[in-house]
Amino acid sequence: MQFHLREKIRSDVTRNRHHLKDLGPGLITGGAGDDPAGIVTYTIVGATTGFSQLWLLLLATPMMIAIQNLVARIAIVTGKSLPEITKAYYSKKITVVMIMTLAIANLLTIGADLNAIAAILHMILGYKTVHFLILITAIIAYLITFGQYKRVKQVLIGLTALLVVYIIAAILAKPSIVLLIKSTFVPQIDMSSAWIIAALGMLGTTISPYLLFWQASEEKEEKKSIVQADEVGFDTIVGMAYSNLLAYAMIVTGAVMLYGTHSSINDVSTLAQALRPAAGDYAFALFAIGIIVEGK
Amino acid sequence: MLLLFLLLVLSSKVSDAKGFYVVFLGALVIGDIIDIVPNITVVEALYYSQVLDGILIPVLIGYALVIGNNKAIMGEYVATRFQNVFSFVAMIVTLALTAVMVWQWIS
Repeated sequence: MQFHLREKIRSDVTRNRHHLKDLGPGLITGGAGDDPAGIVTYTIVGATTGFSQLWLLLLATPMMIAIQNLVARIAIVTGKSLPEITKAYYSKKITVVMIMTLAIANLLTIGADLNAIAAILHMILGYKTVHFLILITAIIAYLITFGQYKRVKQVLIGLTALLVVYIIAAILAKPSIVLLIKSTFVPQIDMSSAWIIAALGMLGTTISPYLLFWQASEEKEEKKSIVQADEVGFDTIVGMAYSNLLAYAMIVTGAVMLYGTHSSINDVSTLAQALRPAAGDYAFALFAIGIIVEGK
Repeated sequence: MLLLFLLLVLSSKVSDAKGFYVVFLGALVIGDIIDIVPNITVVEALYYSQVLDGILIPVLIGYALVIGNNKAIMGEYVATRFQNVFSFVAMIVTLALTAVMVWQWIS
């Protein structure tokens, strides 16, 4: 039985690959998004490390494109998910390790994201966090598992425009342009543990393995995509550029508004202060909208 | 709310529902744990979940690189040089950061 399954997946993969030839060149689609975890992480990175990781964000952009394209390519060529492939071509043990890694990364991120949305709703509306948690989790888990995720995402992309407030805030915060340019293009490394942890968080949220996993299943639905002509779609580049520009703006606002203030950055309202230059007293409201919109 | 939830579940195939329950329950449990444990704020949970993602990146990239360069699987569509180089750089950078972090913990 086990043997048959392996053979079946292998022949599916070969067949899928041969079908690619008939489809003609197409585009690799891929989204990039700043989820609540992203918004929070970028702001904290700015607050704890100032401008000193902007160069790393710049470097993370091609990394993100490369990894997303690689995973998308695997999904398109094989028509299978990563665990299915490891099961068919490698060992069961390897598959278990892979699923465990994906599960930990995905569930923690989604769980924390959901909790953030629920916590914000709690602050606004007053009902217990748990009530929102169940509802939001149900909706999002449904969207993810039944492939409606992408459609909803398209609607939300429109709302993502709201996050432009971070770019406005970054400009209004009046950062030193010289320092900004220097920090963006000249690498600097600080060996303090706060810096190292912030770097891991920044790369973690930018290259998000959680995105990788869902992307594989999303791409499967889009048979029109192909890897033959190694093109990255224009919309993908625009999406990623916008996403990383937002990340950049979040780090800059976090740095200008919170770096060196020594206020403990572990509650949502402190983080919202980063938006003060652009939004004044509405900073919290805007931050809340951002978190909920990006909760996807 | 519950009605909506039931509608969603009933309107779909049974095989899909299994994955749904796993994601739903897993995320809910974690969301609840974050909510209940007094020493972790939502912000910290979000931040450290991303740090953990960063630590796990090398493992997942390792898988993607091995599969993406396997000719038996990918045929003529093996990974491009751009994909290989930058994925590899991302793997090394995150591995190095993790190594420094662990070393700092120990010493």
